[in-house]
Amino acid sequence: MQKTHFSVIMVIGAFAISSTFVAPLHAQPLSFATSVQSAAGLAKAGSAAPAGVAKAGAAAANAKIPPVRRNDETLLKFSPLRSAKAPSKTTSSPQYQTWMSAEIADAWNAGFKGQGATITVVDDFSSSRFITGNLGTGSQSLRHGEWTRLEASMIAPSATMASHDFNSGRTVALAKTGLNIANLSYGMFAKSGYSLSQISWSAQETSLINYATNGSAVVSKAAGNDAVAVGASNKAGNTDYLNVALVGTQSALFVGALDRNGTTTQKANLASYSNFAGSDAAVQRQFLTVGVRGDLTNLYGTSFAAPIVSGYAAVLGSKFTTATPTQIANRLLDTARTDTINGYSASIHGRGEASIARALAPSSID
Amino acid sequence: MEIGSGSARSELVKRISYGGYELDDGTPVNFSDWYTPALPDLRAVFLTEVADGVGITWGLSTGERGKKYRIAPALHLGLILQREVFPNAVISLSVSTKLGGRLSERTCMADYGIFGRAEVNCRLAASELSPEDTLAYLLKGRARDESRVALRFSWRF
Repeated sequence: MQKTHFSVIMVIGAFAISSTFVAPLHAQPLSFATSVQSAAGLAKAGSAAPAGVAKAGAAAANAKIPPVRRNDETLLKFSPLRSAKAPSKTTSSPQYQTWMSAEIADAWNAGFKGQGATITVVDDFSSSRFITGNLGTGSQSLRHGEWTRLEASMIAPSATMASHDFNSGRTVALAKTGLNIANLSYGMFAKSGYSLSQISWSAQETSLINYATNGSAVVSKAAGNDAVAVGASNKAGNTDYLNVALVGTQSALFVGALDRNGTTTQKANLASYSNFAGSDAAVQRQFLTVGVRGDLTNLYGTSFAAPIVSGYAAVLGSKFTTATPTQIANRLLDTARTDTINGYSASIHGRGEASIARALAPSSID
Repeated sequence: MEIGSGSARSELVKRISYGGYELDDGTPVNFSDWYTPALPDLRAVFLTEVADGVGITWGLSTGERGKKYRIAPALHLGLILQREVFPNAVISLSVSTKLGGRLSERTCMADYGIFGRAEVNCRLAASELSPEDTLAYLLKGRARDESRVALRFSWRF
Protein backbone atom coordinates (compact mmCIF):
# COMPACT_ATOMS: atom_id res chain seq x y z
CA MET A 1 0.00 0.00 0.00
CA GLN A 2 2.75 2.40 0.96
CA LYS A 3 4.66 1.59 -2.18
CA THR A 4 1.70 2.49 -4.37
CA HIS A 5 1.22 5.74 -2.56
CA PHE A 6 4.91 6.63 -3.08
CA SER A 7 4.68 5.94 -6.79
CA VAL A 8 1.69 8.21 -7.20
CA ILE A 9 3.52 11.07 -5.52
CA MET A 10 6.48 10.62 -7.75
CA VAL A 11 4.37 10.72 -10.86
CA ILE A 12 2.63 13.84 -9.69
CA GLY A 13 5.93 15.41 -9.01
CA ALA A 14 7.38 14.43 -12.32
CA PHE A 15 4.60 15.75 -14.47
CA ALA A 16 4.04 18.80 -12.37
CA ILE A 17 7.59 19.87 -13.03
CA SER A 18 6.89 20.17 -16.70
CA SER A 19 3.47 21.64 -16.44
CA THR A 20 1.35 22.86 -13.61
CA PHE A 21 3.87 24.68 -11.49
CA VAL A 22 6.51 25.60 -13.96
CA ALA A 23 4.77 27.58 -16.60
CA PRO A 24 3.61 30.53 -14.50
CA LEU A 25 6.96 31.14 -12.90
CA HIS A 26 9.72 33.44 -13.90
CA ALA A 27 13.23 32.15 -14.09
CA GLN A 28 15.41 32.81 -11.09
CA PRO A 29 18.90 32.14 -12.38
CA LEU A 30 21.68 31.81 -9.88
CA SER A 31 24.02 32.99 -12.56
CA PHE A 32 23.79 35.33 -15.43
CA ALA A 33 26.00 36.71 -18.10
CA THR A 34 25.81 39.65 -20.40
CA SER A 35 25.33 37.38 -23.37
CA VAL A 36 23.47 34.14 -23.53
CA GLN A 37 23.28 31.98 -26.58
CA SER A 38 20.00 30.24 -27.18
CA ALA A 39 17.09 30.29 -24.86
CA ALA A 40 15.62 26.98 -25.76
CA GLY A 41 13.73 24.93 -23.29
CA LEU A 42 10.63 26.91 -22.60
CA ALA A 43 8.69 25.01 -25.18
CA LYS A 44 7.88 22.10 -22.95
CA ALA A 45 6.90 24.25 -20.06
CA GLY A 46 3.55 25.00 -21.49
CA SER A 47 2.76 21.56 -22.76
CA ALA A 48 -0.44 20.11 -21.51
CA ALA A 49 -0.28 17.82 -18.55
CA PRO A 50 -2.49 14.81 -18.16
CA ALA A 51 -5.71 15.91 -16.55
CA GLY A 52 -5.31 13.69 -13.57
CA VAL A 53 -1.91 15.00 -12.84
CA ALA A 54 -2.94 18.59 -13.11
CA LYS A 55 -5.68 17.95 -10.64
CA ALA A 56 -3.39 16.27 -8.26
CA GLY A 57 -0.93 19.08 -8.43
CA ALA A 58 -3.41 21.83 -7.93
CA ALA A 59 -5.64 20.06 -5.49
CA ALA A 60 -5.88 20.13 -1.76
CA ALA A 61 -3.72 22.25 0.46
CA ASN A 62 -2.20 19.12 1.92
CA ALA A 63 -0.91 17.93 -1.42
CA LYS A 64 2.81 17.53 -1.84
CA ILE A 65 4.17 20.44 -3.83
CA PRO A 66 7.10 19.84 -6.08
CA PRO A 67 9.60 22.66 -6.23
CA VAL A 68 9.68 23.53 -9.81
CA ARG A 69 12.43 25.69 -11.03
CA ARG A 70 16.09 25.23 -11.01
CA ASN A 71 18.49 27.87 -12.00
CA ASP A 72 17.56 28.69 -15.51
CA GLU A 73 14.95 28.28 -18.16
CA THR A 74 16.60 25.30 -19.72
CA LEU A 75 15.48 23.22 -16.81
CA LEU A 76 11.90 23.44 -17.86
CA LYS A 77 12.70 20.72 -20.29
CA PHE A 78 11.97 17.46 -18.58
CA SER A 79 14.76 15.37 -19.93
CA PRO A 80 14.93 11.63 -20.03
CA LEU A 81 17.20 10.08 -17.46
CA ARG A 82 20.76 10.76 -18.27
CA SER A 83 23.84 9.17 -16.89
CA ALA A 84 26.29 11.30 -15.02
CA LYS A 85 29.54 11.69 -16.81
CA ALA A 86 32.33 9.51 -15.68
CA PRO A 87 34.49 11.12 -13.02
CA SER A 88 37.53 12.78 -14.39
CA LYS A 89 40.61 14.12 -12.75
CA THR A 90 42.14 17.37 -13.83
CA THR A 91 45.84 16.87 -14.18
CA SER A 92 47.02 20.11 -15.71
CA SER A 93 49.13 22.32 -13.53
CA PRO A 94 47.16 25.10 -11.89
CA GLN A 95 47.27 28.59 -13.26
CA TYR A 96 46.42 31.60 -11.17
CA GLN A 97 43.81 33.85 -12.73
CA THR A 98 43.01 37.38 -11.72
CA TRP A 99 39.46 36.49 -10.72
CA MET A 100 40.81 34.19 -8.02
CA SER A 101 41.84 35.10 -4.53
CA ALA A 102 45.61 35.41 -4.28
CA GLU A 103 45.43 32.98 -1.38
CA ILE A 104 44.68 30.08 -3.66
CA ALA A 105 47.95 30.47 -5.52
CA ASP A 106 49.75 30.32 -2.19
CA ALA A 107 47.85 27.17 -1.36
CA TRP A 108 48.85 25.55 -4.65
CA ASN A 109 52.45 26.55 -4.16
CA ALA A 110 52.30 24.81 -0.84
CA GLY A 111 50.91 21.74 -2.56
CA PHE A 112 47.19 21.93 -1.71
CA LYS A 113 45.33 21.16 -4.90
CA GLY A 114 42.36 19.16 -3.76
CA GLN A 115 43.88 15.74 -4.13
CA GLY A 116 41.82 13.00 -2.54
CA ALA A 117 38.54 14.91 -2.78
CA THR A 118 35.68 14.50 -5.21
CA ILE A 119 33.60 17.47 -6.27
CA THR A 120 30.28 16.43 -7.74
CA VAL A 121 28.79 19.28 -9.71
CA VAL A 122 25.01 18.98 -9.89
CA ASP A 123 24.05 21.27 -12.71
CA ASP A 124 22.95 21.62 -16.31
CA PHE A 125 25.08 19.51 -18.59
CA SER A 126 22.57 18.76 -21.31
CA SER A 127 20.58 21.82 -22.31
CA SER A 128 21.16 23.82 -25.44
CA ARG A 129 21.67 27.00 -23.53
CA PHE A 130 25.18 28.35 -23.56
CA ILE A 131 26.80 31.19 -21.70
CA THR A 132 29.76 33.06 -23.06
CA GLY A 133 32.47 33.79 -20.56
CA ASN A 134 36.18 33.67 -19.95
CA LEU A 135 37.79 32.23 -16.84
CA GLY A 136 41.19 33.16 -18.16
CA THR A 137 41.47 30.21 -20.51
CA GLY A 138 39.98 32.03 -23.48
CA SER A 139 36.46 33.06 -24.36
CA GLN A 140 34.12 30.09 -24.54
CA SER A 141 30.43 29.33 -24.76
CA LEU A 142 29.59 26.59 -22.32
CA ARG A 143 26.58 25.23 -20.53
CA HIS A 144 25.99 26.45 -17.02
CA GLY A 145 27.25 23.24 -15.46
CA GLU A 146 30.29 23.15 -17.67
CA TRP A 147 31.22 26.59 -16.38
CA THR A 148 30.74 25.77 -12.72
CA ARG A 149 32.61 22.51 -13.12
CA LEU A 150 35.47 24.26 -14.87
CA GLU A 151 35.62 26.91 -12.20
CA ALA A 152 35.73 24.41 -9.34
CA SER A 153 38.40 22.39 -11.13
CA MET A 154 40.51 25.50 -11.57
CA ILE A 155 40.41 26.15 -7.83
CA ALA A 156 41.11 22.53 -6.89
CA PRO A 157 43.02 21.17 -9.89
CA SER A 158 43.86 17.83 -8.33
CA ALA A 159 40.35 17.06 -7.15
CA THR A 160 38.32 14.45 -8.96
CA MET A 161 35.48 16.15 -10.77
CA ALA A 162 32.15 14.39 -11.27
CA SER A 163 29.17 15.74 -13.15
CA HIS A 164 25.53 15.04 -12.39
CA ASP A 165 22.99 16.43 -14.82
CA PHE A 166 20.26 17.95 -12.70
CA ASN A 167 17.71 17.26 -15.39
CA SER A 168 17.97 13.62 -14.43
CA GLY A 169 16.32 13.91 -11.04
CA ARG A 170 18.21 10.82 -10.01
CA THR A 171 19.95 10.21 -6.74
CA VAL A 172 23.31 11.95 -6.68
CA ALA A 173 26.02 9.38 -6.16
CA LEU A 174 29.01 10.11 -3.96
CA ALA A 175 32.51 8.75 -4.22
CA LYS A 176 33.06 5.78 -1.97
CA THR A 177 36.33 7.05 -0.59
CA GLY A 178 37.76 10.43 0.26
CA LEU A 179 36.06 13.72 0.92
CA ASN A 180 32.85 14.38 -0.99
CA ILE A 181 31.72 17.83 -2.00
CA ALA A 182 28.50 18.60 -3.86
CA ASN A 183 28.30 21.88 -5.73
CA LEU A 184 24.78 23.21 -6.17
CA SER A 185 24.71 26.34 -8.29
CA TYR A 186 20.97 26.20 -8.74
CA GLY A 187 17.78 26.74 -6.84
CA MET A 188 14.46 24.95 -6.63
CA PHE A 189 11.75 27.55 -6.77
CA ALA A 190 8.04 27.46 -6.13
CA LYS A 191 5.50 29.96 -4.95
CA SER A 192 6.25 31.15 -1.46
CA GLY A 193 4.17 30.01 1.45
CA TYR A 194 4.58 26.27 1.45
CA SER A 195 6.04 24.39 4.34
CA LEU A 196 8.84 21.92 3.71
CA SER A 197 6.50 19.07 4.55
CA GLN A 198 4.47 20.05 1.51
CA ILE A 199 7.41 19.76 -0.83
CA SER A 200 7.83 16.54 -2.75
CA TRP A 201 11.47 16.32 -3.62
CA SER A 202 12.89 14.25 -6.40
CA ALA A 203 15.39 11.55 -5.55
CA GLN A 204 18.07 14.00 -6.61
CA GLU A 205 17.31 16.73 -4.13
CA THR A 206 16.34 14.20 -1.47
CA SER A 207 19.79 12.69 -1.70
CA LEU A 208 21.49 16.08 -1.54
CA ILE A 209 19.47 17.22 1.46
CA ASN A 210 20.26 13.92 3.17
CA TYR A 211 23.97 14.36 2.49
CA ALA A 212 23.88 17.77 4.12
CA THR A 213 21.74 16.54 6.99
CA ASN A 214 23.84 13.51 7.84
CA GLY A 215 27.13 15.19 6.99
CA SER A 216 28.27 12.82 4.27
CA ALA A 217 29.22 15.59 1.85
CA VAL A 218 30.06 19.25 1.99
CA VAL A 219 27.15 20.84 0.15
CA SER A 220 28.13 24.18 -1.34
CA LYS A 221 24.92 25.93 -2.29
CA ALA A 222 24.73 29.16 -4.24
CA ALA A 223 22.77 31.58 -2.07
CA GLY A 224 20.77 33.04 -4.94
CA ASN A 225 20.61 36.23 -6.93
CA ASP A 226 17.44 37.90 -5.78
CA ALA A 227 19.07 40.23 -3.27
CA VAL A 228 16.88 38.80 -0.52
CA ALA A 229 17.66 36.83 2.61
CA VAL A 230 18.29 33.12 2.13
CA GLY A 231 14.94 31.36 2.36
CA ALA A 232 12.91 34.51 1.80
CA SER A 233 10.47 35.18 -0.99
CA ASN A 234 11.80 37.05 -3.97
CA LYS A 235 10.06 39.90 -5.75
CA ALA A 236 8.17 37.48 -7.94
CA GLY A 237 6.77 35.74 -4.87
CA ASN A 238 8.87 32.62 -5.24
CA THR A 239 11.12 30.92 -2.74
CA ASP A 240 14.14 28.71 -3.27
CA TYR A 241 12.99 25.72 -1.25
CA LEU A 242 16.31 23.97 -1.63
CA ASN A 243 17.80 26.78 0.41
CA VAL A 244 15.05 26.39 2.98
CA ALA A 245 15.64 22.66 3.21
CA LEU A 246 19.36 23.09 3.79
CA VAL A 247 19.06 25.55 6.66
CA GLY A 248 20.38 24.00 9.85
CA THR A 249 21.92 20.97 8.17
CA GLN A 250 25.36 20.05 9.40
CA SER A 251 27.48 20.25 6.26
CA ALA A 252 25.73 22.71 3.94
CA LEU A 253 27.18 26.12 3.18
CA PHE A 254 25.32 29.00 1.60
CA VAL A 255 27.63 30.99 -0.60
CA GLY A 256 27.00 34.63 -1.40
CA ALA A 257 28.95 36.80 -3.81
CA LEU A 258 31.20 39.74 -3.08
CA ASP A 259 32.11 42.23 -5.75
CA ARG A 260 35.81 41.44 -5.34
CA ASN A 261 38.26 39.38 -3.36
CA GLY A 262 38.59 41.54 -0.29
CA THR A 263 41.75 42.64 1.43
CA THR A 264 42.20 44.74 4.52
CA THR A 265 43.09 47.72 2.37
CA GLN A 266 40.60 47.09 -0.44
CA LYS A 267 37.56 45.73 1.25
CA ALA A 268 34.80 43.96 -0.64
CA ASN A 269 31.06 44.64 -0.74
CA LEU A 270 28.27 42.16 -1.19
CA ALA A 271 27.41 42.03 -4.88
CA SER A 272 24.22 43.92 -5.62
CA TYR A 273 22.42 40.81 -6.81
CA SER A 274 23.56 38.41 -4.11
CA ASN A 275 21.21 36.97 -1.55
CA PHE A 276 22.34 37.65 1.97
CA ALA A 277 22.21 35.81 5.28
CA GLY A 278 19.27 37.63 6.83
CA SER A 279 18.19 37.60 10.44
CA ASP A 280 17.97 33.83 10.88
CA ALA A 281 20.90 32.88 13.11
CA ALA A 282 20.96 29.38 11.62
CA VAL A 283 21.50 30.78 8.14
CA GLN A 284 24.09 33.24 9.40
CA ARG A 285 26.08 30.34 10.84
CA GLN A 286 26.15 28.63 7.44
CA PHE A 287 26.68 31.65 5.21
CA LEU A 288 29.99 32.43 3.51
CA THR A 289 30.98 34.86 0.82
CA VAL A 290 33.65 34.92 -1.87
CA GLY A 291 34.59 37.37 -4.59
CA VAL A 292 32.91 36.86 -7.98
CA ARG A 293 34.64 38.90 -10.65
CA GLY A 294 32.04 38.98 -13.35
CA ASP A 295 33.68 42.14 -14.60
CA LEU A 296 36.63 39.98 -15.62
CA THR A 297 34.89 36.76 -16.60
CA ASN A 298 31.45 37.87 -17.77
CA LEU A 299 30.11 35.26 -15.36
CA TYR A 300 28.05 36.86 -12.64
CA GLY A 301 25.98 35.35 -9.91
CA THR A 302 26.29 33.24 -6.84
CA SER A 303 26.44 30.25 -9.21
CA PHE A 304 30.07 31.21 -9.59
CA ALA A 305 30.60 31.75 -5.88
CA ALA A 306 29.65 28.23 -4.83
CA PRO A 307 32.30 26.47 -7.00
CA ILE A 308 35.02 28.54 -5.37
CA VAL A 309 33.96 27.31 -1.96
CA SER A 310 33.67 23.77 -3.33
CA GLY A 311 37.24 24.08 -4.51
CA TYR A 312 38.33 25.46 -1.16
CA ALA A 313 36.70 22.52 0.60
CA ALA A 314 38.62 20.11 -1.63
CA VAL A 315 41.88 21.95 -1.07
CA LEU A 316 41.29 21.89 2.68
CA GLY A 317 40.49 18.20 2.49
CA SER A 318 43.81 17.53 0.80
CA LYS A 319 45.54 18.55 4.00
CA PHE A 320 43.16 17.19 6.60
CA THR A 321 42.71 13.85 4.96
CA THR A 322 40.69 12.28 7.73
CA ALA A 323 38.38 15.22 8.34
CA THR A 324 34.66 14.75 7.91
CA PRO A 325 32.62 16.92 5.54
CA THR A 326 31.06 18.61 8.54
CA GLN A 327 34.48 19.46 9.94
CA ILE A 328 35.59 20.83 6.57
CA ALA A 329 32.47 22.97 6.27
CA ASN A 330 32.82 24.26 9.81
CA ARG A 331 36.49 25.01 9.35
CA LEU A 332 35.72 27.20 6.35
CA LEU A 333 33.06 28.95 8.38
CA ASP A 334 35.17 29.34 11.51
CA THR A 335 38.09 30.88 9.64
CA ALA A 336 36.16 33.25 7.40
CA ARG A 337 37.46 36.81 7.51
CA THR A 338 35.39 39.79 8.46
CA ASP A 339 38.17 42.37 8.18
CA THR A 340 38.18 42.20 4.37
CA ILE A 341 34.53 43.19 4.04
CA ASN A 342 33.22 46.71 3.97
CA GLY A 343 30.73 47.21 6.81
CA TYR A 344 30.70 43.58 7.82
CA SER A 345 27.41 42.44 9.30
CA ALA A 346 26.42 38.88 10.17
CA SER A 347 22.94 39.51 8.79
CA ILE A 348 24.41 40.38 5.42
CA HIS A 349 27.69 38.50 5.13
CA GLY A 350 27.08 35.63 7.54
CA ARG A 351 30.44 34.41 8.77
CA GLY A 352 32.41 36.57 6.34
CA GLU A 353 34.71 35.98 3.39
CA ALA A 354 36.09 32.47 3.00
CA SER A 355 39.85 32.35 3.45
CA ILE A 356 41.59 29.20 2.34
CA ALA A 357 44.89 30.37 3.79
CA ARG A 358 43.38 30.75 7.23
CA ALA A 359 41.47 27.52 7.02
CA LEU A 360 44.73 25.69 6.38
CA ALA A 361 46.63 27.43 9.16
CA PRO A 362 46.56 26.45 12.79
CA SER A 363 44.54 28.44 15.31
CA SER A 364 47.45 28.39 17.72
CA ILE A 365 50.83 26.79 17.96
CA ASP A 366 53.34 26.40 20.72
CA MET B 1 94.63 27.68 14.89
CA GLU B 2 91.06 28.82 14.58
CA ILE B 3 88.47 30.63 16.65
CA GLY B 4 85.10 31.35 15.08
CA SER B 5 81.38 30.86 15.13
CA GLY B 6 78.81 29.00 13.09
CA SER B 7 78.70 25.74 11.18
CA ALA B 8 76.83 24.24 8.28
CA ARG B 9 74.15 23.21 10.75
CA SER B 10 73.75 26.67 12.22
CA GLU B 11 73.67 28.13 8.69
CA LEU B 12 70.83 25.78 7.85
CA VAL B 13 68.90 26.95 10.89
CA LYS B 14 69.63 30.56 10.05
CA ARG B 15 68.17 30.14 6.58
CA ILE B 16 64.88 28.80 7.83
CA SER B 17 64.59 31.51 10.45
CA TYR B 18 63.56 34.01 7.78
CA GLY B 19 60.20 32.33 7.11
CA GLY B 20 56.82 32.49 8.76
CA TYR B 21 53.06 32.24 8.28
CA GLU B 22 49.84 33.47 9.79
CA LEU B 23 47.54 31.73 12.22
CA ASP B 24 43.89 31.43 11.30
CA ASP B 25 43.10 34.74 12.97
CA GLY B 26 45.88 36.53 11.12
CA THR B 27 48.37 36.54 13.96
CA PRO B 28 51.84 36.35 12.39
CA VAL B 29 54.17 33.52 13.32
CA ASN B 30 57.79 34.44 12.69
CA PHE B 31 60.28 31.63 12.57
CA SER B 32 62.96 33.94 13.88
CA ASP B 33 61.29 33.67 17.29
CA TRP B 34 61.96 29.95 17.26
CA TYR B 35 65.18 29.60 15.31
CA THR B 36 67.41 32.40 16.54
CA PRO B 37 69.98 31.32 19.13
CA ALA B 38 70.75 33.31 22.23
CA LEU B 39 74.43 32.55 21.61
CA PRO B 40 75.89 31.29 18.34
CA ASP B 41 77.82 28.07 17.98
CA LEU B 42 81.36 29.10 19.02
CA ARG B 43 84.37 26.98 18.26
CA ALA B 44 88.05 26.93 19.10
CA VAL B 45 90.35 24.53 17.25
CA PHE B 46 94.06 24.10 17.92
CA LEU B 47 96.95 22.47 16.09
CA THR B 48 99.53 20.40 17.90
CA GLU B 49 102.61 19.12 16.05
CA VAL B 50 103.34 15.58 17.11
CA ALA B 51 106.19 14.80 14.70
CA ASP B 52 107.97 16.39 11.78
CA GLY B 53 105.26 16.96 9.18
CA VAL B 54 102.53 15.45 11.33
CA GLY B 55 100.02 17.39 13.39
CA ILE B 56 96.70 16.85 15.03
CA THR B 57 93.88 19.35 15.31
CA TRP B 58 91.60 19.34 18.26
CA GLY B 59 89.04 21.65 19.74
CA LEU B 60 85.53 22.18 20.91
CA SER B 61 82.39 23.94 19.74
CA THR B 62 79.77 25.10 22.20
CA GLY B 63 76.69 24.25 20.20
CA GLU B 64 73.68 26.52 20.21
CA ARG B 65 70.03 26.41 20.96
CA GLY B 66 66.88 28.25 20.05
CA LYS B 67 63.35 27.75 21.21
CA LYS B 68 62.68 24.98 18.71
CA TYR B 69 66.09 23.47 17.97
CA ARG B 70 69.38 22.50 19.49
CA ILE B 71 72.89 21.96 18.17
CA ALA B 72 74.81 19.90 20.69
CA PRO B 73 78.44 20.72 21.61
CA ALA B 74 81.00 18.94 19.46
CA LEU B 75 84.55 17.69 19.76
CA HIS B 76 86.69 18.57 16.73
CA LEU B 77 89.48 16.19 15.79
CA GLY B 78 91.78 16.09 12.81
CA LEU B 79 95.08 14.96 11.38
CA ILE B 80 97.42 16.88 9.10
CA LEU B 81 100.29 15.32 7.14
CA GLN B 82 102.69 17.62 5.33
CA ARG B 83 105.74 16.91 3.17
CA GLU B 84 108.01 18.99 1.00
CA VAL B 85 108.12 17.24 -2.36
CA PHE B 86 110.76 19.54 -3.87
CA PRO B 87 112.14 22.92 -2.93
CA ASN B 88 109.36 25.41 -2.17
CA ALA B 89 106.69 22.82 -2.99
CA VAL B 90 104.59 21.35 -0.21
CA ILE B 91 101.86 18.78 -0.35
CA SER B 92 99.55 18.34 2.61
CA LEU B 93 96.71 16.03 3.47
CA SER B 94 94.25 16.98 6.17
CA VAL B 95 91.39 14.99 7.61
CA SER B 96 88.97 16.42 10.15
CA THR B 97 85.78 15.28 11.79
CA LYS B 98 83.50 16.25 14.63
CA LEU B 99 82.06 14.11 17.35
CA GLY B 100 78.70 15.12 18.79
CA GLY B 101 77.20 18.35 17.52
CA ARG B 102 73.88 16.81 16.57
CA LEU B 103 71.22 19.19 15.22
CA SER B 104 67.72 18.36 16.40
CA GLU B 105 64.44 20.20 16.01
CA ARG B 106 61.64 20.20 18.51
CA THR B 107 58.02 19.71 17.53
CA CYS B 108 55.09 22.00 18.23
CA MET B 109 51.53 21.34 19.27
CA ALA B 110 49.19 22.95 16.77
CA ASP B 111 45.52 23.54 17.38
CA TYR B 112 43.53 23.26 14.16
CA GLY B 113 40.21 24.20 15.69
CA ILE B 114 37.56 21.69 14.81
CA PHE B 115 40.19 19.27 13.48
CA GLY B 116 41.76 19.12 16.93
CA ARG B 117 45.32 19.38 18.23
CA ALA B 118 48.24 17.64 16.64
CA GLU B 119 51.99 17.34 17.05
CA VAL B 120 53.57 19.02 14.06
CA ASN B 121 56.72 20.34 12.57
CA CYS B 122 56.52 23.96 13.72
CA ARG B 123 57.62 25.31 10.37
CA LEU B 124 55.23 23.23 8.31
CA ALA B 125 52.09 23.57 10.41
CA ALA B 126 50.46 25.74 7.74
CA SER B 127 51.90 23.83 4.81
CA GLU B 128 50.36 21.36 2.42
CA LEU B 129 51.25 18.40 4.52
CA SER B 130 48.86 16.73 6.85
CA PRO B 131 49.93 17.43 10.43
CA GLU B 132 51.36 13.97 11.00
CA ASP B 133 53.28 14.04 7.74
CA THR B 134 55.11 17.22 8.72
CA LEU B 135 57.03 15.27 11.34
CA ALA B 136 59.03 13.51 8.65
CA TYR B 137 60.65 16.82 7.80
CA LEU B 138 62.09 17.77 11.16
CA LEU B 139 65.63 19.05 10.88
CA LYS B 140 68.25 16.46 11.65
CA GLY B 141 71.94 16.95 11.18
CA ARG B 142 75.09 15.23 12.33
CA ALA B 143 78.28 17.13 12.81
CA ARG B 144 80.27 14.26 11.39
CA ASP B 145 78.58 14.94 8.06
CA GLU B 146 80.79 18.01 7.98
CA SER B 147 83.93 15.85 8.02
CA ARG B 148 86.48 16.92 5.48
CA VAL B 149 89.38 15.41 3.63
CA ALA B 150 91.59 17.92 1.83
CA LEU B 151 94.68 17.49 -0.30
CA ARG B 152 96.66 20.64 -0.97
CA PHE B 153 99.68 21.35 -3.07
CA SER B 154 101.50 24.65 -2.89
CA TRP B 155 104.55 25.82 -4.80
CA ARG B 156 106.22 29.13 -4.20
CA PHE B 157 108.10 30.54 -7.17
